[in-house]
Amino acid sequence: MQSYRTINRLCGWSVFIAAATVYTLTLESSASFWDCPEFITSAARLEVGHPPGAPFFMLLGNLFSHMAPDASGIAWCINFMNGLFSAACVMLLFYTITVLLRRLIADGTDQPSRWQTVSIMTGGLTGALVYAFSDTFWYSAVEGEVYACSSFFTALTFWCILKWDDCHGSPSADRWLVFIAYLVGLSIGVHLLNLLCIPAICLFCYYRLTTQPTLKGSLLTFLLSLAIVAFVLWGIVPGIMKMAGYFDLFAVNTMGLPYNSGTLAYSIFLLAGIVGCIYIAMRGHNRLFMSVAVAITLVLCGVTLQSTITSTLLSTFILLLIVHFALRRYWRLAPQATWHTLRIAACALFVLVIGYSSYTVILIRASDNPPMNQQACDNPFALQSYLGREQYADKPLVYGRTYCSPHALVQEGNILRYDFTEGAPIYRRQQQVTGDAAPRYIETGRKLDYKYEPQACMWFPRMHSADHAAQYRQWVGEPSGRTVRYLDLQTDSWQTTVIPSYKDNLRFFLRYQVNFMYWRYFLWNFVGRQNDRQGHGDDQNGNWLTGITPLDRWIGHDPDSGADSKGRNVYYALPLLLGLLGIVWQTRQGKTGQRQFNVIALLFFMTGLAIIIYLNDTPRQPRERDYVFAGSFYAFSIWTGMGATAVIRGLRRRMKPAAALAVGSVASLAIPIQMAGQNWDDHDRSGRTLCRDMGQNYLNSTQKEGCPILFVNGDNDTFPVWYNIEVEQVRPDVRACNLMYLHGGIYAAQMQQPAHTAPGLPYTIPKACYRDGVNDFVRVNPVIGTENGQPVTLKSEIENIYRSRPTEKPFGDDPFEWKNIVRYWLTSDEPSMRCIPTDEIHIPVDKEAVVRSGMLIPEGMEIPDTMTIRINDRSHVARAALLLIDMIAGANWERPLYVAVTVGLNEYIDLSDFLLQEGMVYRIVPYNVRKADIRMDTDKTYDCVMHRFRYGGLDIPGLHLDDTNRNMAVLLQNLHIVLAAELYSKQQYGKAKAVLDKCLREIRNETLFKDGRHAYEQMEGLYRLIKERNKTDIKFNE
Amino acid sequence: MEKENKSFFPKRENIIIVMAGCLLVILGFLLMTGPGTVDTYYESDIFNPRRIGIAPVVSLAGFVVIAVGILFFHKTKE
Repeated sequence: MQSYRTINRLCGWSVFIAAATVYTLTLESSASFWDCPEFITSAARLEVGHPPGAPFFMLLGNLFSHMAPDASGIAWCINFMNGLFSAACVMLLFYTITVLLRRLIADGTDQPSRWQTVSIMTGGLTGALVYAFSDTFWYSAVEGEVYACSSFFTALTFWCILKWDDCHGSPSADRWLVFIAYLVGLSIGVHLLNLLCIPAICLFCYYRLTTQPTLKGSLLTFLLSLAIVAFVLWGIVPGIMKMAGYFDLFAVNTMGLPYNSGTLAYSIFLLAGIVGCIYIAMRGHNRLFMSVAVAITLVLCGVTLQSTITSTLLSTFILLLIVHFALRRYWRLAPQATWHTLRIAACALFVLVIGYSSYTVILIRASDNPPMNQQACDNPFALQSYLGREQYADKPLVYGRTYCSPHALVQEGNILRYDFTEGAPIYRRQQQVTGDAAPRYIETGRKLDYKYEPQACMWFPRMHSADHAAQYRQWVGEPSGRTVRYLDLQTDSWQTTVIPSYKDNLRFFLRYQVNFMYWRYFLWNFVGRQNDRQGHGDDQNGNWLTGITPLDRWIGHDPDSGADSKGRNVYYALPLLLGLLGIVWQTRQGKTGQRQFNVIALLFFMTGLAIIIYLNDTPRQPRERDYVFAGSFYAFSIWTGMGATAVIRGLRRRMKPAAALAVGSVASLAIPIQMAGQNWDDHDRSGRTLCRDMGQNYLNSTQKEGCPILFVNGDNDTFPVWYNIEVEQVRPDVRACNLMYLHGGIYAAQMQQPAHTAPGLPYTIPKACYRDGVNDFVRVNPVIGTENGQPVTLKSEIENIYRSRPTEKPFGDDPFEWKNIVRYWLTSDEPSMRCIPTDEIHIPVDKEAVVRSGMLIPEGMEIPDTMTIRINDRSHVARAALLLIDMIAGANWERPLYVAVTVGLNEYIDLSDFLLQEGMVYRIVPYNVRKADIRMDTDKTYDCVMHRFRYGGLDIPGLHLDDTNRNMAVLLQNLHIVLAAELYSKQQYGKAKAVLDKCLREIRNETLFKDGRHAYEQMEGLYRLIKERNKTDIKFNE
Repeated sequence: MEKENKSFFPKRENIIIVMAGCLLVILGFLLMTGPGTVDTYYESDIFNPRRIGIAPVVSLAGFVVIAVGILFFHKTKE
């Protein structure tokens, strides 16, 4: 007995140490691309990241961040934490497999024979190591994302239910159930994925608690477990926030108390309610008190809150009836068991709420206004929409639109307009809206959900995004459903459209969502992967691959594509076969085996295909999404472990026991070792710091004087820049501003605040005129009527007035000067007046300021008196573009405005004539660069390249670059080539050569040699030209 | 009934430890509060080590203590 436990424990710890060592050796040396720099910033400096936030991850990461010797080591420490969590997850997987196996082959005794012990350990080791070295899990284990931590919580939850099972019947068992509730509460503060193992746990409990499990009972348990998930996900989680919101609204607006005093009072009431429940349940005799306490607590949790008061009252009434009758019935049936259940449930609710209370961190920090403060959720209403991720477009799940469904219309007076439903009001602090600092909440609007033509809607709609019409067609062809006739408001004419048939809908669901977005990832992990380029449905990129060439050709996944890349990992489908064998073997081990199978299969489904149903993904995702499904790969790894044991048992029938053990163990353990061998080279990120260094390169491309403003746009320029400013404190004088976020009024207001040593953004438009709901979309030079059948624009009308009555000047001296546009139009009290009355905006140029600013002024060029921005390609500009123009006027050149080279500025406004490249950023200049025939400030760019740039380990031989890293490396390489060509054309041959030399010295990655022949040919050509001109001895060496 | 209750979860020890954990969590939250940035003034105190170093660690310790409190169990009393 003792020996089995010792061996089990020892093997578990060895798995932990092995996995932790592998992960530590392969950790990325600094922050990784995508969300990692943001998460690391939120953990190390307790700033607020993107919705739905991860406050408990912040607390955990914060602890590890203190272990860093200096700021540049923080990212590694948080990556290291994830490595440890992943290794712990693998260890728990090992214990889970051995417990399940012991029940199957040793009849659940505590003393398996030696033979049994070895086969159990082999199963545990194989399953745990297959998972440890699988593609998806390893990927998350070596970077600073939340998924490693989330996997750990899932594994821990599942392991706890086995502990509960172990001591079921003894008084010590209940604590495990309560602990699981606590884990669920905490994991809301990491990632909601953990909720998905609740159904498997409920089924497990059902099998344990009943003597005669039936199919009907299992199904009822499943439905009950879904109800529990829904109760937490859609009941408690948003309900508590909403309830807190209404308390705070009352406290602040009615009683005049400070912000969040109502939230505080509410928390006390809620906890008091739950503690009351626990107290009454522990005493266990007063049924009336108990019913009342349960009802009050549930109402306080906000589970009955609806969008209107009547429906709230109605649902509250229904809830009270259910509580009353359910309790009465069960007290009559089994009084002791009911009291017992109530006690556990009340304790579970208490610890769940306590776990969930980690969101207080977000509330506190958001109220402090740190430089990164996404969604500014400083009040419970905002926090609720932050948690519900309401700023992302909602996706219909049960019933709704297709991608080409027309809007439903409704008659309002004489006008037809789009029909919509209004959600709950959005409340904001007055200060964010008008600038008034007195505590008061203001309703800034309501969330609108457009309605669609009922005849063009369907049940279980899978193709719902109008922005992805072309991609839907690419996946399932032209829609073949009903023809719908509708009135198009834009052109005021009747149109027809063909919507997808139900067959199209299901075909897309199976072909794209299920097969491409789930099974492909599953097979990556247990069969093999073609390469690590992102797949979009072709046969060349990102497919699964067996490694058996004829088979792959037959399937239609090109085995030659990426054959020599590190992202090619093939396991010849062996882990898959092992897992399938495990399933077959497990289901043949009597009732215990079948029940185990049901539980694991439910876990596999809920953390895999159920997520697919919930996410309702659109085609052309910006990145591969395999990381979401790590939970279901966890479940499958349990079966691979079972498979290993099945192999040994199968062999034993044909061989001597010792030989069977030896052959079976070696053969099974060879599989994860082969996986590790395949995966090591592309999961080894040690030495890579490209993400951090690119962030620094953006920042250091800007000049040191004048507190520059840097505009960024996507995840991979914004987050690295923020990380550098906030965590490593590189260039705190730069104010980085995400243009996409600038569409939101709250973010725009935040950006007006100073941060570190940089002042806020220099808007001239007051806050009340750029807040949400005001100037969201501004018309540009609108048509105001017709004359002789020709449209008359506002601009021509104003010009007419100024021509006919030159002395009046109703809109200032120059009506098209920005100052006057702001004064007479954009800040007008009359909403219909708010527009830009011209397609040609004039901004007067302060020439002395331009000279002082430090920007390049080409020799012999006269600085123009005015900068003229033309907007003739669009009828509206959004808030971001409006504020961008405003800042050009407000910054007055002495505060330099830069745009990162990766920003597609044309999405906002066309400024291409005024962009001058300096390093990895464009500077906005007042003169027309096209006319001046100048594209790049070569002196400054040369200085950046030679003295300021960092290269993130691109000179390390054999460093692996995945898609994102490769693109960044190519961007950097191209910059050198373009600079060298510019310098060459300016006859600065020595400098051109120096730039090329530096490029070859610093960027030496093999991937670039292979894929980027063209760049090297360009460099070779430049070298040759320089050599001819310079007549010196320069050799091109690769 | 009183006697029976003693072997039930939660026992006195569980409750005391969980409450202590809760107090630690709250203490951490309190340590985290302080003045914040306003429109015209950047408050560097938001990155005070008390608020982003001590406070989160105290709260985290509280959450760990709560976990211990839930799982705490005396075998000898059985």
